[in-house]
Amino acid sequence: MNHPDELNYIERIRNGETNLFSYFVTRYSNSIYSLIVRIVLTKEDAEELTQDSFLKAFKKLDTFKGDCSFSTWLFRIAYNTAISATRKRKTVFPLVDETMLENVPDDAIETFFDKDEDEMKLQKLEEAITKLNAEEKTLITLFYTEDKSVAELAKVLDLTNDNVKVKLYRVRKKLYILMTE
Amino acid sequence: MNMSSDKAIIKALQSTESSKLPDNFNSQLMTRIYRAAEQKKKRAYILSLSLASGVSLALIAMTIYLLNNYFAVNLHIHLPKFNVNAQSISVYGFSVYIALLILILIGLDHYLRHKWLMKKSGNDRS
Repeated sequence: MNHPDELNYIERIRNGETNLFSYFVTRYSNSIYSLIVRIVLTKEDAEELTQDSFLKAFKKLDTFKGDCSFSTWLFRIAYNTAISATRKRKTVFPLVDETMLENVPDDAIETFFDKDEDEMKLQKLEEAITKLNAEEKTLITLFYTEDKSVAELAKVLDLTNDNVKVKLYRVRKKLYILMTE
Repeated sequence: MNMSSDKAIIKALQSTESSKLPDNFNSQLMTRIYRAAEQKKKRAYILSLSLASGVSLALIAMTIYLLNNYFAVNLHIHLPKFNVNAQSISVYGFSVYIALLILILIGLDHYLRHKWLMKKSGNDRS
């Protein structure tokens, strides 16, 4: 949901108080950067794309209707900006066989990801995350670190709620397979 | 399926978040935002000026067309004839002097207003 202060700030920025946009820059710049750097992988490109995302948000502020939170709207812009940048590069992501995904038992996943003490496991998990595609990285980043709901993720990625749930479920299985390969 | 308790995934994501933005990132970005805001204002000004000019020209054209075709109005204007003699030259000279004085004062007013507005917007930003 939108914070009442944020809606007030947006209205005032639309009326010419540009300096208030610094509130959004301070509040969301690190989160936006964290998402973009996972997708594009280089820090320099991620910094540039973070700036571009905020500039686009500022220029399109009149089109923000308030039907989702400002951060969800901003993440959507950032995701699309990062995706456009990566389209020029042809990155190959490892594909995981459908039958392999289906064969992973749910219980094994639950217990596997519930423990965070094993350093080796965490290192492998970090490596496995880098092998995910942009959409999968965005899903887990926003779901686990930004506490975004399924409905908000659906808005960011332009998917249905059910689709997001299925994709999140499958990403966990994919991570498990990539780690145990 | 309880995905929110995937502690290992959360920890792995958090540990790779170590790279942060440089300290001057926000100020650099705000400079670009201010520049974009100025451009937005300029575009809006040019658009409104073009619209106003367009509408005014259309109205003038329509008025001339209506007066010419539907009303019995003679649009030919006969300018008065000027007889320039020694006495009238001093009157014209005074008129030119007043006109120049007004132009200078309007220019000065515009310059001072502009300077004051720039100073005010600079204070607002800081």
